[in-house]
Amino acid sequence: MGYIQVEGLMKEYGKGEAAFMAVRGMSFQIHQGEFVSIVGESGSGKSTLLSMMGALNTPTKGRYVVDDMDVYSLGLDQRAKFRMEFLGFIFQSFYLIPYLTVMENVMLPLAIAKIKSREKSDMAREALMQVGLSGKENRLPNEISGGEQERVAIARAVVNNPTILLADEPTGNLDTKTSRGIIDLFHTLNGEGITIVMVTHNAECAREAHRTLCVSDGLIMEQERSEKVVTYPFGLKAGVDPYPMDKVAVQ
Amino acid sequence: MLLAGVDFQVAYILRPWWKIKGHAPDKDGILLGAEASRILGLGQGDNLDANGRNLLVAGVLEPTGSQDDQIIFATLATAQQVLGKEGRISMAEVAALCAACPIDDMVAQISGALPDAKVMAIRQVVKGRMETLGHFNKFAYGLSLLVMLVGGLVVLVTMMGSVRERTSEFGIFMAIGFRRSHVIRMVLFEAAIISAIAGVLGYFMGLGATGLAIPFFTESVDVSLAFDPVLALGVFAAAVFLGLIASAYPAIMAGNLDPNEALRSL
Repeated sequence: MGYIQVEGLMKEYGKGEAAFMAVRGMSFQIHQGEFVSIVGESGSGKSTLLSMMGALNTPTKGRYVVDDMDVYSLGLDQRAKFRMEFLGFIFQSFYLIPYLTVMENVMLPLAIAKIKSREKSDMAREALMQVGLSGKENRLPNEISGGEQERVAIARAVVNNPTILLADEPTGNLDTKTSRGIIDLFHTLNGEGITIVMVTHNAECAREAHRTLCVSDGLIMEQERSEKVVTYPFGLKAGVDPYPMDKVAVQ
Repeated sequence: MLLAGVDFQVAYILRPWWKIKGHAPDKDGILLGAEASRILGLGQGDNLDANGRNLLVAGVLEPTGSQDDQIIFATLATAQQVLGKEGRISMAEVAALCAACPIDDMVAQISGALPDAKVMAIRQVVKGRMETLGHFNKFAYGLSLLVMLVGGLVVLVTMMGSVRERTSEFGIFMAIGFRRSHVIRMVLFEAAIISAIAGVLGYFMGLGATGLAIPFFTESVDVSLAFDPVLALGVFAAAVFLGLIASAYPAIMAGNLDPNEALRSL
């Protein structure tokens, strides 16, 4: 679970003379357990791409397939179910609910799940432990640091055990040291089998991914493979290139 | 000229249209009807000799257009004494001030107790008062309806504002998998909770305000307010219903938010 296929994805905003193409036809695949970063200038289309991959933004044209599921052929409620079951979202500004405690924020995705309250609490505690925030369950978001808020957002994103984690500039508001900690956490989660797609401006963070897609003007201009990638633990053999260039629409 | 002994405290209730120049008489005084005052040539402060007893004119009634204009009124005890009819009553007027009072039964009972007296029900007074009460009730219902309408509009505007203010929050909920129905239910649930609290507070505040207002609208000291569970439940249910109806549109608006647009508002 977690194999992503993007085929000719396009997104146009506005109408008539005001219309412009934010994404002009992107095609690529992401394998299960892969850690992919997307880099590009502001307005290049990377956040639009991520929102489409998050089933939040219907593309003008193209297909977005996760495993065998054509996401945009689903109805709105089914798309919401898809987001709940498959995806974890991490936003640049954390987007924590200010009046809820850390624990309650992490439990949010479980609020609509049909499981017992005790089990929900256990899952949230486990997620908080995973991100190193045990003991801060009852704090409010404004009572913890920015790095800790980011960790709460990550705990919230992984609490329902998603197969894909989408992160929109997760280190954008953090200092170098805290960013390092977040990237290490991503490596840990990736090591547990979660496919990670991270949009970032930070070239250093991007290099931490297995692969980097460079986006410009709504197109994928090139892809780079990190030298750090030596093994592919999720069914891929070392020495076999899992990311052939012909599978990526590079302009 | 007719001299009538009356209980002045009750007379004011039976004849609320009475307007007196002067004041009600004590045991040594009289109240003159307008015509009686004119015929006798007496006014406030004058004296009248009645069967050898000197009585002070304490007040004069303004013209009423009824037989009261020709009557000299004194307290019951004074009239009985002057007329030599101690302990006897010749006429009793009965006015029932409630909607479903068995006035005929009351008249029969009083007639039984006072066999020498002529007991009469003042039906027209009751009828008039009941009509007034009916009009007042209609006015009160209309006012309540207006207040409910305004309250509903206030809830609608408040909830619309709340939904707009929390657009980004709903965007987050949707991004993490909440469906349209979850968001709608969430907004309606919040509205129901707030409306229920408002209903309970409103009922008790109304009860308190009525308790404070009663002394200004009644002369009786025996009137008390009772907790009516049916009315309380009705108010509670009406408040929740009104809150839910008024919040339906904002809830649907929240449910129809585009999550991508909602997140952009952050």
